[in-house]
Amino acid sequence: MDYALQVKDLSKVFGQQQALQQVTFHVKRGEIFGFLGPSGSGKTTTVKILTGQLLPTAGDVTILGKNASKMNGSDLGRIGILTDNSGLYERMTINDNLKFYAKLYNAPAGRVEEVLQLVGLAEEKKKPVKKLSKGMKQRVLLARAVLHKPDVLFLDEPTSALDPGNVQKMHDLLRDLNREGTTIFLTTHNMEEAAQLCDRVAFLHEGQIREMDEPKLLQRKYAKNTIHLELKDGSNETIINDAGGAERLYQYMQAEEVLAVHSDQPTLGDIFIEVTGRELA
Amino acid sequence: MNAARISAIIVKEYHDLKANVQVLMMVILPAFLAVLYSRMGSGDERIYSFVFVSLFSLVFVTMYVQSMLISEEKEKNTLQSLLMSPAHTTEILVGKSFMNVVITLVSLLITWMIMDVKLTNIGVLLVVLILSIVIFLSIGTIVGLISKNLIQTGVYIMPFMFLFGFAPMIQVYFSDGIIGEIIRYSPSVFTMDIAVSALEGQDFSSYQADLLWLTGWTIIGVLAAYVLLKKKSLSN
Repeated sequence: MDYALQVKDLSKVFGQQQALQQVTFHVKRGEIFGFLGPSGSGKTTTVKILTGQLLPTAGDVTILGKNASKMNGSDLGRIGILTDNSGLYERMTINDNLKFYAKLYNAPAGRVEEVLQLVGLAEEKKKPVKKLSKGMKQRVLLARAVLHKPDVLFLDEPTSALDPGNVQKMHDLLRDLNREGTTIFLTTHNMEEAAQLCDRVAFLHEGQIREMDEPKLLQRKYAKNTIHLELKDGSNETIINDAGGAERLYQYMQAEEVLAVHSDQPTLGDIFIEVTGRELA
Repeated sequence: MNAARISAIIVKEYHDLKANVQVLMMVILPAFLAVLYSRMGSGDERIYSFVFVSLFSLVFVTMYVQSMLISEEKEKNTLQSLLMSPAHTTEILVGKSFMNVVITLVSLLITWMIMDVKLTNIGVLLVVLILSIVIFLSIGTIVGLISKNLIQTGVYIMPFMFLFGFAPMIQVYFSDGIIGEIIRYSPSVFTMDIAVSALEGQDFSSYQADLLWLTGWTIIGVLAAYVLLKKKSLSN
């Protein structure tokens, strides 16, 4: 199997605090992998270790077949990073910022204009970065991270500062990149985003992976096999999805009392609460 | 080293610096000092003043500006982005220092024109100028890297500016004690002594040892700045 990322028994300790405990997972090439967890669960620490910015206390981390802490310039040229410690040159325009990084990453000349169109900032390209809103800066950072069409793209909460319209644009951009072969490692606490974008997700809680699979398979695994009925008299009824339940449903339908029928497929948020005992916030 | 990446960093520095009023103000500061000193003294005294104002340019422009530029990159999180890019540590150091060297040379040229001192032993002066620029760039880089933000850099750089900018004067006041003995080994005292000796037309052997010391300091400074910058790519 061709893996973009392989992590085995990864642990990280800061002083007395155990940030990560024996984390093991892999990400296949071309996959969108979601790393989900609340603030302080160890997501950013994991991204920093995967990108070689932090050394692990124990464990093996391989990115594109190479030890993450031993990446050289050409290895770094194959990855794109958008984290909370990504910055821009405030006095320079959006265009000058992107042109600088395009040269640094040896991206084709026309690529700056292309990504500006993709993130919807072509009209604003001559604005100095210091005059941009937080959401616009986030879009410039994303544009910068994808300028060179990286083999692996690390995104740490990429849409946290964006409005719903721009979130959709970002998702389209990420899907397009993924279709072109970019592997995406995404950390988020937005379960809806993860369910929409990710091929697989892992739930990180207190530095440990508690669950990991495809969103659909997780939803199937944690489904409770019940159906909720909303009745015309305003009451609700939960029935079990079996022969007895079918009989009850038939009776309600025959009496024309059913207003709505809801399946009991849990959201990723519901599953996270069930697995970890806490909400994803 | 990749020339395209270095030139990209230089162009970026140019775009960034042309809007940086604080840095541009520092360039003209030594010129005011040059105007003051140009009206004082004659002969050896004038040579001494000329070298002192030049040293002031190196400390207040080269070292101070470099510390601010590096610190700002750190504070705005752009240094981490640079270190996580394909650019090598050496390319970053060269690219980030180039525009500062240009600014320093412009500043020095202005002060030299104002002070109007006849230059002799230009080869030696050129060597000492290159070594001094490199050592002060290195110290500025180190201070910028070890401080957490621009405000802290402003505080940390002050003793260095005082020590290196006024070391030749401090040495005069404390010539007999331990302080004078320590300051005698400061890179700025070596710079001053070599430049004054060269301008006075003294024999090479009279400042040969000083030149070796200055070279040693420069090598140590460059290595320390390189290692520190390399370590900064790790955020722990």
